[in-house]
Amino acid sequence: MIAAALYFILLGSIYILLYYFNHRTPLPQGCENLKSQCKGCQNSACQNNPALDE
Amino acid sequence: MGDLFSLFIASVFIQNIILTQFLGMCPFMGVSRNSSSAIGMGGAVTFVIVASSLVTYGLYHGVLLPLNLAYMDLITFILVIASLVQLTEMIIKKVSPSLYKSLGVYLPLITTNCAVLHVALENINKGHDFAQMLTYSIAIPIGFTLVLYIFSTIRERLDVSKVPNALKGNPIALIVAGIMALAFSGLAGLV
Repeated sequence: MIAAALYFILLGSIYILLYYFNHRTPLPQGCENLKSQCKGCQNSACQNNPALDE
Repeated sequence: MGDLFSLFIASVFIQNIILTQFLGMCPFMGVSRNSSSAIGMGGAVTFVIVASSLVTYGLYHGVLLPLNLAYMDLITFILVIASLVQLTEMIIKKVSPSLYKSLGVYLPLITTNCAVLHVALENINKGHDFAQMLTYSIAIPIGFTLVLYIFSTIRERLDVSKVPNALKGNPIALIVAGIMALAFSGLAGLV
């Protein structure tokens, strides 16, 4: 049980670390305000669905 | 060697991840508007699938099985895939700004691309050895990229064609995808 918890914490930490470094990496020029060309499907969980902006 | 070749051909054409298993449909519809984006997305998915398969296969056989933690396979695979997508996004930001511009908003979709998780799970469930795992993990994204590219070239032609108003956009794209699935099903007896 302890091994499982430690293993989960280790994997989670790696993910958090990579997420942090990715978001600290500056965006290339001209990519500051990217919008998707997608007009939306039935998947309301998708972050590109324009229904979320309304 | 013959078995690996059969596995490769079957994974690319006969058991194509998009057209016969209907996985990875989100990028298939979202990033198929032009062929350069399709190739870029195919490359990114290929990198993530091959890297995640190598890491998850190693973790399953090297850590989870010896520690009797095999029940943690799903959470392990999800965290590995999510981490690799962050890494891929970081690399593309640094190496290819133009590719980031065309793929940027769609890159996080790779995390939720069930094709990636499918390959990691199938390598375990089917009991693949290392060579089979590597063949399967390379063949599946090649099939994904091939179909995505073919579909994007058709959609480029559709954009300049006269399509009835009721079928413009996603409806005609889904009809084309259905016809492509029928065409690929004709390869069923190949191997």
